[in-house]
Amino acid sequence: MKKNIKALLDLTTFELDRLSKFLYTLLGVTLLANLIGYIRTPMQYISRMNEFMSTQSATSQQALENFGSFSFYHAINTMWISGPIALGISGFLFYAVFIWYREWFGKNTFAYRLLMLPIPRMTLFFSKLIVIYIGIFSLIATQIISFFVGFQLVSAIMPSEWLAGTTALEAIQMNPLFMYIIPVDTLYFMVINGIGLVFIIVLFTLILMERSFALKGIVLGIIYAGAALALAVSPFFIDSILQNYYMLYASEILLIIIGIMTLIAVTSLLVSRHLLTKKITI
Amino acid sequence: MIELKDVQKQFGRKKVLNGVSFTVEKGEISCLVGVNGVGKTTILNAIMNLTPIKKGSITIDGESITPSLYNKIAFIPDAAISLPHLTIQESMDFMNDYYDTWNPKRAKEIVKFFRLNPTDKLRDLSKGNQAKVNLLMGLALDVDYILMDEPFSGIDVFTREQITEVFSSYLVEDRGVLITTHEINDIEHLLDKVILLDEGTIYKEFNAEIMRETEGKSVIDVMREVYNG
Repeated sequence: MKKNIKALLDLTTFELDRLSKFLYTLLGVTLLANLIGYIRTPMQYISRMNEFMSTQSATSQQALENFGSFSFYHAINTMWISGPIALGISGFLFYAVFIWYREWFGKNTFAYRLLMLPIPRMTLFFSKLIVIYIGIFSLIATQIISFFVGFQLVSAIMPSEWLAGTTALEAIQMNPLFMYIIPVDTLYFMVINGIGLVFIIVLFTLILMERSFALKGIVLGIIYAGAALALAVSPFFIDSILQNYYMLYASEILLIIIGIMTLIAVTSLLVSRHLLTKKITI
Repeated sequence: MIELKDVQKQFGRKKVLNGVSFTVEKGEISCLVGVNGVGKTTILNAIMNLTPIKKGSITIDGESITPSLYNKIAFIPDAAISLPHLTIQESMDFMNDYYDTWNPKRAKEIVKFFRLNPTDKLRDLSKGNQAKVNLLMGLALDVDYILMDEPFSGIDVFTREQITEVFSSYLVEDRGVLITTHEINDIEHLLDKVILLDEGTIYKEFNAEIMRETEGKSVIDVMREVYNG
């Protein structure tokens, strides 16, 4: 057991090292884009206000009435901020697939070495899963730090009389995209990330199906993904299925969602273990 | 002993292995021979649980292969299997981290024997030196059995000579070795057993030396008889 945990830690560190270039690039792009956004957006507003005041010989108050005040919400509601989030999500989706296929189709067939390690093969699965999550949380952490730095930047750049008193927290709550990644509501954040985790586990299972059965595995994977998806969204159709839907409390629906997600995750882990141990092919 | 009993394997509708049975004993060098596509690599992959078999059984000292048995058997495939951005030393460190049977002293000796430079990155190595690194990763493990897939494939004559030396050295002493190769001439005199594959089955199993003494035929002669009809 102790040896297996050590192997998991070693492999995770090893995988992290392989992720580092990709992760640092993503973090760098996120920080840079955010920084540009937090400076450029308020500057554009200031320049519009100044231009209006000079061309219309208007007072600051009149300009404010014309354009409205600037809030932090305006600063984060731009492509400079949401773009890197979308890039991060799609980047990690890509990496979740790449992390497996590079072992077969990279310059060297490292899958040989990994599959011949004297450790349970699920260790490979878990190390890759952990690394994906470390990457995602690094990105979330960077985004949170960037938010608060951005808030300070906007407050410093914007004249106080033009700045609406929106807090960073209120601005986040106004943007649904940020609600997914910033832990404002702990339960909501955990459910969203739990669903994300199950999604990655299912994705890994589909990849292993393809790696085990080739074309047949793709067909099998489509069926499996369809079944998992149908099961995952079933709680939202309980009202059509059960007449007494209104009798269920939101917390009960949440419990059903958690139960179904756990079922999908456990099934996928068992299927993956079987594939890795008995069916995987070099 | 590695024991294959009635092993069957199919790719789609094509039967690649059709009831293959043989054994590899400790202390002997066995060679799987056959034309391309006859299933030699598939057999090695199957022994290492790198491809599932349809029917039959494969055991190593009576046990089915489990991860812990990778401390007992090593496979040297016909492909670079270490990460190209690592140095030879880093690759050896990787092996040391996971394998109880990794023997650093032996690894050092093999590095010296093959005249490799541990600080070289694998991506900068020639094909011959990559083949040597593959051998290093397998031979430096204190395992009872070693499988080698085409160790002479695509390398120059001098490297081939160096690799051939391995088979008569202490590096394979007391181990059970199963090798596949087309360059049979180079190692024919070192083989204890030749296993000739044809159409997914074992066509013939013989001792190369006895065959030469009793029938005056080399392994290539026997192969010609089989494949040229």
